[in-house]
Amino acid sequence: MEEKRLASQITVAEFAEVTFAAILRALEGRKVPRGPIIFGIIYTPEGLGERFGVEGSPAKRA
Amino acid sequence: MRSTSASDLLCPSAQPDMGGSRLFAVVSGTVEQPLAAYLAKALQVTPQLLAMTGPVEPTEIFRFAAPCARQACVHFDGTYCQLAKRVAQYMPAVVDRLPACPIRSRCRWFREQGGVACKACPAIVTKDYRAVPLTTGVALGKDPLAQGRSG
Repeated sequence: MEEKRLASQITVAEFAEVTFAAILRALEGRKVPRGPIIFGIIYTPEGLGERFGVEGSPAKRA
Repeated sequence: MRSTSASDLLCPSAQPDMGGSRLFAVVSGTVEQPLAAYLAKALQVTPQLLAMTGPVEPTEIFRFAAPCARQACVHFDGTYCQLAKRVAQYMPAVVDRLPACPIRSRCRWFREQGGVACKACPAIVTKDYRAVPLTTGVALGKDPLAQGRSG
């Protein structure tokens, strides 16, 4: 019988251990980078202006 | 139970510094097949939590949910999230059952695309150094199938 693919749920007690494994995965992924890409919110120029002020970006603000 | 209005919906691939951001999953798995593990309850983002990621950025390993930026985000078309649509349309299911996700009731992707988005969601890395062409196409709004052919 084919095994079901499931996403796991973690408890607070498991959080540190899973986070450590995730850091190792991320470091491994950086060895031969293709990106990075940002998957998710990408601000429009107007949205950036609203969020970070008239100068438009955190880099400029800093 | 309070119903969630469209303006209350959360983006499940947000940044930690956005107002109201919550950590709801840790992306573990492997480099080739990242797979999110979901928290029973989303955590408030704190400097201590972000410091736990050490040498990598929080968005490389954590998934954050924050209120949808709507018109301030390039993926929002005025009514729907086009990123959610591409996730549901192009990204393969990586799990067979809906993950036990603490933000589903307020998730814009689930609200608009249903469980199809949820079954692809565990493979998503917010800041991804090893994105395959399909993922890059979905993330950037280019034709993912064309991306796949070229890459």
